[in-house]
Amino acid sequence: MPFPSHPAQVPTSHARQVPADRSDQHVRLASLLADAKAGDRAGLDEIVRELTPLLWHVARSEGLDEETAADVVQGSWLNLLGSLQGIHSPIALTSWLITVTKREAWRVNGARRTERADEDVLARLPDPSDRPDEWVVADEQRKQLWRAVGLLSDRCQRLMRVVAFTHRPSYQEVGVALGIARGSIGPTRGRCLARLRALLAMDAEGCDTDGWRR
Amino acid sequence: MAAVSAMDSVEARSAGEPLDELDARILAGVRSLWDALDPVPSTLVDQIRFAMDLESADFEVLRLTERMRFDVARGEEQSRLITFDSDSLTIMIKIDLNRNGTVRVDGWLTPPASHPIELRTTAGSLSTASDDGGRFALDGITPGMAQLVVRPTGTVNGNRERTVTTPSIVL
Repeated sequence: MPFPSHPAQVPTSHARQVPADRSDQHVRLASLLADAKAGDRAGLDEIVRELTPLLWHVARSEGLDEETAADVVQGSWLNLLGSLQGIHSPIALTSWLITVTKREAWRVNGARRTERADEDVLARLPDPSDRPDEWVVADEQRKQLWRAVGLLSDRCQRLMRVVAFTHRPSYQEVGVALGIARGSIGPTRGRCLARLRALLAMDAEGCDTDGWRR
Repeated sequence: MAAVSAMDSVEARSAGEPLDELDARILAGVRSLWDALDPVPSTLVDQIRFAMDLESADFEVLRLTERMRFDVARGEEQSRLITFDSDSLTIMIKIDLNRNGTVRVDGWLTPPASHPIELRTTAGSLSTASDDGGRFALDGITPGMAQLVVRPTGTVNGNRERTVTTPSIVL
């Protein structure tokens, strides 16, 4: 459950570490990577299942339409097969995949811009300034979060979106792979996430709802 | 204004702190929002797994660079034209649906050459070869996921030419 609704579950100490399941994912990826490199097909299939959502959001946040994003993500995975033996950690694997996907998205975007300069590919993505009532179950916390995300800069929105699909030890490398150094996350919170927290806190005060900081 | 600058300094201090459980909850929340707003297409993972299930990792990957749909003269069904590209090879294929529900693929390789060609499908593999003009055709294909693999037999500078594969597509 991504949103524990019971305020009692939120720790009072800000130094409390991230729940174990995020680093468990990291450990699991490390063992799957070893299996895949040894030729285990099931290990590779599991890595694909685990990391495809991340790559999807990298491609989509670069403004690709769904069909093109799917092609680009599949291309990244196919190209990985030839490079897999040189990749030694889940962090390196994640960075490699993000870098290749982002580079290819940029290449496709560049080609398209020369063909159809008037078309704004970003316009096809849902706009965070719209309220998500139509898509998301009515949940005041989610609406709050969506409002707050919509107030972030484009750069921070992209970083948050991609980091949210990443295992924690890779946060810093994700920022690097995306070409976002300033505001990046890890090992400290970073400017983008600090701003999102501040926006949520303000919104919670104004709305007098079950806040995030309770 | 005082409130804004106070918020800025709180933010700046907060940015330097280690990640905590609230951060994890917020990121999990962001993830669930994007999962709902822009979900990964349901068939994508299967398509990727199918395409990666090749016997060797030593191949060149073609990019899908163009898709076109056009109406066949007087027919109701559409033809599709797909172009795959790499530095060394271009494959253009025309995909038509037969009346009996199977699929026909007509292809052209550039630069033109005779090469063994395999079409991997979920129902098995079909093999053919391009002619000297680079043309090939496969018919009676079961609709579904498919991937073209070209296996040149020649050599370049004494090295065997690399196998070339397309991403998987849905026929």
